[in-house]
Amino acid sequence: MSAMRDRVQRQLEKVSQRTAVAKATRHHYHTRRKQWAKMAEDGRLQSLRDWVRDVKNQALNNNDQVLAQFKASLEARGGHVHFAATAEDAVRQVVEIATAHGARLAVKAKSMASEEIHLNPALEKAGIEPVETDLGEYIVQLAGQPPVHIVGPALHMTRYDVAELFEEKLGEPMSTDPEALTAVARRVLREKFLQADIGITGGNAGIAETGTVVLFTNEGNGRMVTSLPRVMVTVIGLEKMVATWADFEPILTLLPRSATGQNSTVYVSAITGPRRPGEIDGPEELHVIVLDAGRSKLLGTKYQDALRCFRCGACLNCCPVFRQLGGHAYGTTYGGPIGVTITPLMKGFMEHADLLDACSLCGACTEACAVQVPLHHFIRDQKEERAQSAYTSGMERFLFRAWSWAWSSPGRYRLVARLAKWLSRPFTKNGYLTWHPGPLGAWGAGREFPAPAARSLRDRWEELEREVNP
Amino acid sequence: MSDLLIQQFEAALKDLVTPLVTVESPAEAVAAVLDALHRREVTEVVAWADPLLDAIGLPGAARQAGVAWVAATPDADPTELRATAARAGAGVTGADFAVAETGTLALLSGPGKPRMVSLLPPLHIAVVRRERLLANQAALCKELVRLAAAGETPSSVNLITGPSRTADIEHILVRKVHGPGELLVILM
Repeated sequence: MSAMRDRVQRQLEKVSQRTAVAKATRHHYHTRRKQWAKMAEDGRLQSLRDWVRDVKNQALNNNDQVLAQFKASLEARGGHVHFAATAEDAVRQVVEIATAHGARLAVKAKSMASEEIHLNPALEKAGIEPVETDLGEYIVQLAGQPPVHIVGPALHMTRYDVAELFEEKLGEPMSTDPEALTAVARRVLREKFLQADIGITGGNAGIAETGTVVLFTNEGNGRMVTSLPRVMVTVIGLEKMVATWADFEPILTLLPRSATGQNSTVYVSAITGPRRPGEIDGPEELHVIVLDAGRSKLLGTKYQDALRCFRCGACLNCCPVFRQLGGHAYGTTYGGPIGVTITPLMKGFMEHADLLDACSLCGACTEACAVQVPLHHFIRDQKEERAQSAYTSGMERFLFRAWSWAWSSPGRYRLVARLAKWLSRPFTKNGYLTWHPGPLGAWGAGREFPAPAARSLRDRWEELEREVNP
Repeated sequence: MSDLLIQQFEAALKDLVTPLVTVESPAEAVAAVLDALHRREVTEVVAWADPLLDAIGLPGAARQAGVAWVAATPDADPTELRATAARAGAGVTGADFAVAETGTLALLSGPGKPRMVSLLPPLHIAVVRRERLLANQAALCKELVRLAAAGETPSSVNLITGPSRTADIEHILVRKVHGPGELLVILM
């Protein structure tokens, strides 16, 4: 059994989580659709999607120049830019910066990049306490879990789960009121913000023209992390860069409308370098770590378009597989269609090829993708590559070749159909199979498989044709 | 300035449970701020050291009304100012731009305009001049593009659209997470 199947099996048993995931994804799906309908009515949905596609394509096609410009612009404003080829490099750089400042406490704004590089365990090992400050991230951090969704890290948990968690970990009196739970987080995290030595963020976009990092948040934690600590470190994927502020406009407009369906997130913070003379807050020292970690492997290939993704999560919310399972079943930082698409390409094909099974190629994701990544085509293409690689067993390849041979000639097809009818006869009851051999076993565990008809369509065709064309 | 734009701004802010007070004179603006402070029994305020706020005589009027008004002047002690901001009942700022379409305020950081004023206190009051009200996000982006072209992009641009909120627990909307739970806009 593959690791993916194993995780799916475990996830299927978590009924409360699955219900919560289904409810939350449905909610996000409908809010996004409503907002998109409004934009379509205003006649600007498609032009915005095209606009983002074009600015991101341009930045990806000229990635070297865009990154060089970002570095030059930020350094001219007194910031520091580091390139990290691997996750390990990025982790080492963050830990080095933090230890050089003698940091003991790091407050973090929600960052999938820092999840991807597994930053928190490394900080802990270096004696630095990392505290997640987005409410959802804080909840999953307390629970010792990875985020379940790139936009809603804790959407698999109910208020009762959170209440129990806060009681157990924070010693708070039990309350299941989301407002009271939020107030607890505000109080606990406010202290952390004021004490932290270092603030760590991700970045929703980078603007090369001025060396700017942009964060979209609703709670204000992104602002706290970038305003209060003396040192700020941003870990941002190289694909998040755009060339200019003009290129940023369609992202400002489309990202929140596709993620949570808001016209704008409550806060959009664009940070350009450390604080300047005469300013009394903002970081005194600012570092941006531009993360590759497999991304550049996609540059210049047909899969480059997948790097346009700005992580709105729309493909997760519409995916029939994700909606059943939630992100934990994928066992990777990025779940859902975008995770299935990029993880094997970025992190090693053979190791992650089993993710491709978490897709039925229904195409809902491609339709929902704000930046028009042909997600299910990319998954299909990788399934094809997988079938032609050593990943697929000789037996499976033989069976499919035999099936293809049998079904590609009318005579052989008829023979196989007749054989199936005779062979299934002893195991047929009320028109359904009572025994599901081989690959039908899992399928038949929860469903009935209809037995071959006593008379096939082909056998009945002569009389049917008379009925249709009397 | 068309009234239509103001109506649109007001409607957008209403969706964000953010009241808009439109005033005709500096005196009215001062009265609106003092009224909001008084109703919430706010006795300590941290504020931008902003020429606009000084010009309408807000700091003096507030002090006269018994409110401790701490202006974030560039020579203020950072540690002390932060302690004040963390304690204050309200933060008062100007706004460099506002966007009618989305109810957004754009605050550019700079000397006398620190970020914490609109962030740490539970109530944020922003005084915006009417000529700074833009129609939509596209118009705002034009301003940001212009700043970049002039090499004047500030160290931080904060776009603020309503009070701090979350929906991370069962997608139930809760306000006042880390930032202010209340936002009040005064259009002058």
